[in-house]
Amino acid sequence: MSNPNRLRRKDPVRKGPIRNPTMYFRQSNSWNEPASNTGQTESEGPSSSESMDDVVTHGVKLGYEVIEKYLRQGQRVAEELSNGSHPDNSKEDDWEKLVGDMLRLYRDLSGFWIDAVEALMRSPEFLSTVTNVLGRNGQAKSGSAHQEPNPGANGENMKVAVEIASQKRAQVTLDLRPHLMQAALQVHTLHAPDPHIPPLTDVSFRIDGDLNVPVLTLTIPEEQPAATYTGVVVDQKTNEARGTISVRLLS
Amino acid sequence: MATAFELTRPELKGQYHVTIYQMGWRLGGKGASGRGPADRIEEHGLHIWQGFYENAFRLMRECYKELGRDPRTCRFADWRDAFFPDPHVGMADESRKGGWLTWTAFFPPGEGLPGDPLTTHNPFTMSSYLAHTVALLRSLLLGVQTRLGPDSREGQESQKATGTTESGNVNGESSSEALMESMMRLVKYGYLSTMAGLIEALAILEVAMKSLPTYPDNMLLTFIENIASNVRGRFEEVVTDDDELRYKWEIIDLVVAILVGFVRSGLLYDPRGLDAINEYDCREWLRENGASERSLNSAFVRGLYDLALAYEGGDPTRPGLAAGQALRGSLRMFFTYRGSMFWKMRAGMGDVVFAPFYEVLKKRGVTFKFFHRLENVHLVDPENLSPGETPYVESLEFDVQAKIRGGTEYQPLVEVKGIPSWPSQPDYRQLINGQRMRREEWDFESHWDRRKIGSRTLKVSQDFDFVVLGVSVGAVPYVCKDILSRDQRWRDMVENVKTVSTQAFQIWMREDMSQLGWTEPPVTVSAFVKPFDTWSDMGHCIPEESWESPPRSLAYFCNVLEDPPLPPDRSAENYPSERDKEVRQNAIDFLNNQVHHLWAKAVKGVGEFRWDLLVDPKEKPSSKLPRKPTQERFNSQYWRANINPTDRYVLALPGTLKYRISPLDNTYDNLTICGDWTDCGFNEGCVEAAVMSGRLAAHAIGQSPSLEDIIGYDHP
Repeated sequence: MSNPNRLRRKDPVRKGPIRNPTMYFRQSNSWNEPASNTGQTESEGPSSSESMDDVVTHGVKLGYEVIEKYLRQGQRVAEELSNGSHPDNSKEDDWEKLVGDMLRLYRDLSGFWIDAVEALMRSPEFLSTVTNVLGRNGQAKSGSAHQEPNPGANGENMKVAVEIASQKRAQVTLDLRPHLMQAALQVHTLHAPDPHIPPLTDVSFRIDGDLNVPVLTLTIPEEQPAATYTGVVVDQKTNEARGTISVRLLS
Repeated sequence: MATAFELTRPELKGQYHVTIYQMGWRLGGKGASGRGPADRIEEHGLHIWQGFYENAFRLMRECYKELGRDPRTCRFADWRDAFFPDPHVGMADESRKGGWLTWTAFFPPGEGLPGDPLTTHNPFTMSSYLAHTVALLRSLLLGVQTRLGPDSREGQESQKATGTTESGNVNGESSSEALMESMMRLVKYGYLSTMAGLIEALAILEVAMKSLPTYPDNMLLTFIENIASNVRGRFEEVVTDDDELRYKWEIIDLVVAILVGFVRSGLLYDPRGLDAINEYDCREWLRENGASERSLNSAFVRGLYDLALAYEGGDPTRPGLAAGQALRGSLRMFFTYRGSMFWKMRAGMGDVVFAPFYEVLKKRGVTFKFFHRLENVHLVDPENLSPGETPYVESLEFDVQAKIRGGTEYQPLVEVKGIPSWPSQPDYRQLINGQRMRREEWDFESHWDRRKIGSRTLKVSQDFDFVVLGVSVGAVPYVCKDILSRDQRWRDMVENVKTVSTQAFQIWMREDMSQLGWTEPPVTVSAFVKPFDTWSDMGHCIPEESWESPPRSLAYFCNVLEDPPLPPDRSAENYPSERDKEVRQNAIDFLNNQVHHLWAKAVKGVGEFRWDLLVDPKEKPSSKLPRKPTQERFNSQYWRANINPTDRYVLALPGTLKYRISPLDNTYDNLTICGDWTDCGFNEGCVEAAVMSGRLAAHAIGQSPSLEDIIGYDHP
């Protein structure tokens, strides 16, 4: 006969380490403790004069931390639901808290990204680079443009078409991670740093049947204020982050 | 120990009561040590901690802090008293001109100390590693350039490139666009064929590596392959006769191969991280990425295999080391160490590590049951499971090897010069019928000595709720028969996660190292000749021992020990003594015929070790040495064959790491496993892996520590 009194281990949140270079950016609680030795560690590299690249890396890192938390919370909720293991009140409380946390994280996500990007935008080096890149590759007023070739999963050149309908001058930066061109992409609403500015909502990806390339379409309302709007590109199926899109709308 | 330490943390407020069942009289498994005659330290082998052992050092530091020893009465009151930095590492290599050369490298102190809290900056990013790799390559090339005697123009240009890179700019240009243009310019106009061009290229690459997503893979690969072919073309033919230049060139060649391999294998973005290449042997992967045969057989690569005891079956002709784990280990070792690349213990591992843990755990209320040999982990009968119920451990069966007089708990430690230590033999006075056991030479740690005085069965819910199985994978076939009979994954693990026997010997000598002919700093040398390819100067341990007339030097040697084609069964009672004799003879032959390459003055001539050098702990200082000491004098020294299943060293063979099972695995919902043989994130036999695994096991039971708190668990 089964032993009803015995204790059981809980299922672990996950079963292995995170090896994915795009997913392991993290800080544990202990990592946030002040180090006993105030200098930076040798492995950290120079930080006193952080280069533009460091700023970009740090921004991406911050963003992925939130995304990762969000995904993990979502996974936990899904597991709880699929196990049907919330009949008693305490469990139900936990579950509600979990859902609440998840929603909060989801809400925070866009703001967090914007904070990160806003920090980047303060970097003159970054602005200069963005301007340089867009000056050659992504600048468009209306109609369509092609971004510079990106490497695909197998190293071959891949293209993304960009169609923009706008009365104003707009610069688009699309930063997509490799190994994603086979995925169906989706882009969330693009937000400006100022929460009072309405977001850009008419933005989407589709596959162009003739060219067999993803096409980013973006419609910018005439009255849209000048600002930099930013959002996350995700895999439509898994909702995993695949990159970022930034639209700089000039007055 | 790590699991018990985590589960009994005061913050958990006594949520778990832990009982540790231990075979024999001492803790530590293959890390255990004991005090022998003259209180000399006798180890299973050589144990050196590396500066990246973040989890191990962290627990150790917490342990010493909690222990609260009084520095006025105990020399090892703080962890820094017990560990000291060892920045030197040596590699032995055969010279083109005959004989052996030893290369001793000094690694500068790394910022901070191992176990310090990490800052918010994650040091384990691929871009960080690659930037460091490129920087290493650049400094190596500059070193070689100095050796070759470059023309002044190239030298100046190189220095210029170096200087500008350190400030984050290359040739005054800082943007990603400018870097890409610089790459193309260098490739297009053939600048890479000059040393200055190469150095500049590496400076550009170093900056590029810090922001990898900005640069297309194919562009990086083209750039790196161009660098590789030009580096190789430039140096291949000029270094053959110069040993020092050849040594540096071999490292350059290997680093170039790693760089090419990183990009070519898609490791920068592969969701499996470095595990993606674990099917390859490390040499094979380096070869595929262009490393020369000479570099693949260099001291550096041999040392990598030697330090990991990476020889299947103990056969020197069958090296095997999973490429991904080898790279992970190397990157952690070279680029994330803190304080010092290596740390040595001032006394035995038992005294420095396991005695403090024992004392702290005792204070926390942990119960220790010594002389309990696990015989079977018994699973519940599947017919007794409710629908949907997970299988679980129903009982644990032990042989009781000895009982304690008065029914009290065994007191395992002895004090040596104020340091609580483990003895090499049990304290028979505490055991019922102890004197008889001593006369009959009961070996409580031998797999082949099955003597016992009784049996004991622990039952779930009555005697335990959760089980942490902390035996070595070598012992799993003997203690988990029930699980193996039912579980294919466990059978696959036991079949594929292989272990190897090891051999070790220690000698105490009456002359110091310089008198013996070694003029370098105290060092650990690897890649030396078999059968003992690794030597460590351990003279610092002598003051911790109790010699009437202290020896002047102490040396530890170790290596793998070749296994027989079929493992002997438990009835082969003579097997341990046969292997013991074999190790003794190996050591004698080694001292007679090989050690002169290291210590030229330790021999009268080739084939004739100076046996008078050895210090016998049983001799009085005033007693005269035999007029013609023979090799029989070696009997006074210490050696051992680590052949017990629990003592065998776990290998990280290519294609096998996927068969490891994680402590997080919940197939049996009241059982978890721990040890450096588990899938613990750093899958190579070492203290750090054992501690990481122990912490994972604690997490599996109590969700503490968090996985994010296990440093380096999440790692590419």
